[in-house]
Amino acid sequence: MSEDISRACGAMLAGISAYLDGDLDATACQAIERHCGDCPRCAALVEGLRETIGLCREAGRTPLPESVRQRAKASIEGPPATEKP
Amino acid sequence: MTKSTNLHPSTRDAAGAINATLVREAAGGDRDAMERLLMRAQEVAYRFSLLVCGHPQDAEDVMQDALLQTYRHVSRIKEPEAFRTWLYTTVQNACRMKRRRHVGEPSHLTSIEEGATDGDGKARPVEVEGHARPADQLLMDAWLNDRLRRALKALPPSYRMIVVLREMEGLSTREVANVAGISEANVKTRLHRARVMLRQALEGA
Repeated sequence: MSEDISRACGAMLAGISAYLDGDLDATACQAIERHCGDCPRCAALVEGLRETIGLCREAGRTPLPESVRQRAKASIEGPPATEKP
Repeated sequence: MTKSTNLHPSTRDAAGAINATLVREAAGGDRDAMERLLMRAQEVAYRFSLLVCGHPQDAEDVMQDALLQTYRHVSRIKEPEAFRTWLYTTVQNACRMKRRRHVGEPSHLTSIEEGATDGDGKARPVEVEGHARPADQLLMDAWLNDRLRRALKALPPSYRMIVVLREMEGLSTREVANVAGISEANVKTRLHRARVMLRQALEGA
């Protein structure tokens, strides 16, 4: 982050993750959205982080390679015969 | 501007409730429930070991270890509702054990906690040694977005774990804190820093 960020930008940065996680109340959300309306840099940061979070969550929903699933399934079908859970 | 993209809590709750039911039924001897539980666990274990521990060639072994632990200990899991937390902790331990046993292990063993500096310190990425076999690397390339994989790898391991658990696996802040062994406030701090670092890495990719 550059050193010339304004106090408003600093306050914005401190709350941005809570904002993106839906942890802020309506008043705090509106303050951030107002600031972003006036500050293209912060608006770009919010959108960039939102995209990053979305990319991670999309990856989390991607199923495993089928070959791995098959190997795991085969191992599950044959647990140690002498063992009991 | 739209609001949060957070996972809906009911999605996590529903998954947790299914896991808890399967744990109880499996502990009671229901073989079908055990198989379903293990199938759910295997994907979790593989992703975590691959992304957090960073040894592609070990991911399947770690997954098998975690499944075996689940099979052996399912009847002794005290809180079925906390199964996911138990599983991630088990996988994390399996990753550590695997790395200690690894032939050709780096002379300096990097713990998952190493590289994290909270407070005012700067977090420095710790590169995980890569000994990937070509087949595993191809599998990974096909599975995970290449830009994201590189960006994740650039994070300090302790930060990477927070991102994977919170963003990719959908754990709550409290669950992540339990697995990582840190406070919820610390989870939030690391998550915020990790998101910013990830963004910067993605922009520079």
